[in-house]
Amino acid sequence: MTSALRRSQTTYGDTALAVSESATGFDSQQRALSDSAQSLGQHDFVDGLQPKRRLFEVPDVNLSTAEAVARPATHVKTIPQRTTSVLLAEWHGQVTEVLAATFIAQLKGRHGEAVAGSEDIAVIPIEEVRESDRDLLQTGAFFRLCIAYEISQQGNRRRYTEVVFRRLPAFRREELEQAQAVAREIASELRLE
Amino acid sequence: MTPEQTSVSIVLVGVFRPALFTLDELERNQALPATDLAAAKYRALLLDQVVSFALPWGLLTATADRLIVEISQVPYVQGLDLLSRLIRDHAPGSIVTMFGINMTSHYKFPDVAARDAFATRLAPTSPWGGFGRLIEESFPESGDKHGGLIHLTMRHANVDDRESGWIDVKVEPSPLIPNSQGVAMFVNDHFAPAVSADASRVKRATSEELLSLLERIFDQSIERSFKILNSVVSGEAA
Repeated sequence: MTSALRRSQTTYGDTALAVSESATGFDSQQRALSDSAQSLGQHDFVDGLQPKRRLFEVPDVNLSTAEAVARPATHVKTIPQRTTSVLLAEWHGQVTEVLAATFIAQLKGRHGEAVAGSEDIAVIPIEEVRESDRDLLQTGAFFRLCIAYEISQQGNRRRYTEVVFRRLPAFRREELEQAQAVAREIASELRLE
Repeated sequence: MTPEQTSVSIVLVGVFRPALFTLDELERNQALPATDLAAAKYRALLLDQVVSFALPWGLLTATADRLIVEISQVPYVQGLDLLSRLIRDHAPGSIVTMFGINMTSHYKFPDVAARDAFATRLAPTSPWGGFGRLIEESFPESGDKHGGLIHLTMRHANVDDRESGWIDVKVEPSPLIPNSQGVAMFVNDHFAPAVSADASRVKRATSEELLSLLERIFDQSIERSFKILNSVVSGEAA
């Protein structure tokens, strides 16, 4: 893995490159994971294949050979959280109008009994929007409206509504490539006089 | 039956530079909202090896061959949006060679007998002959003397929405729910490109196709995983 890692770092940015063995086959994935743990061990971070949890709390990413054998490449055992929410209903929304204390949105049901597939127009109080998302509230913006519950470690069940605005990427690769093509075209038409 | 806990993770396998995913880098490039940045806490930091930090709604981990986001708070799509922004805007040199959309749910049964009945429905003891009889006889026991199902995985390998991949569903006793009343269920919805003659080389076009597929299929995968888990727990057709 160390060599694969070096190679991937040195060729990073090429249009096509050899990926590390971890991604191309089961045996090589197993070897890569084992090597990855050994590589970490060189920095006194991991003792053999077991994280020491000394410098930092190490997440349970697949570091051990045993894990690699037991689990497919794209499965991780999630670290239990203190509280996690359980989704009851979810809508995909798009803002159509922003008013003083509310906003109007088109909703499409995504999850939940009698919700999935439904279409509605809703008036939603702005105070339901996370403080950190308020700057995203504008006509055309996409958001998710969720009804969920969570059970605390003490066993208390809390039901709540969450409005979360989506933060989508600014660029897609094809857009960047189109922009580069246009730039090349413009550059080819430029004349130095 | 509704779960006590559900979380989702997205695992991208490929080529990544962990050093690009430190909080300093993400702050410099405004890749995380200010509130997430303010609450973020490192869990592991070894540049070029592993970067991992907790967010108010989940956990991000980057290694040289994996970029993982675990989402513990709804909406799960915020994890997808973060990965999309990181790959497309912040680290466009990353290569994705396969990905998985995973769901974990913990269910609480009314008592141990109900959990045994569920486990026996999935894996009957009678086909195990005399060994199965011994296991069934241990059901009245408690603690370490109580036998039964400890791990079961079923794979759907012919999924028509991908070139290559599968859906694995795994059932185990839940470590989170006390008194032997809990069951943990995992879905691994795994997507990979078709195996080509030159499998050691993955073109950027393939990486882009996989990322686009992830963005397109995420909600569908989550909804399918909910239905699968509900179907297994209830025993009814989805």
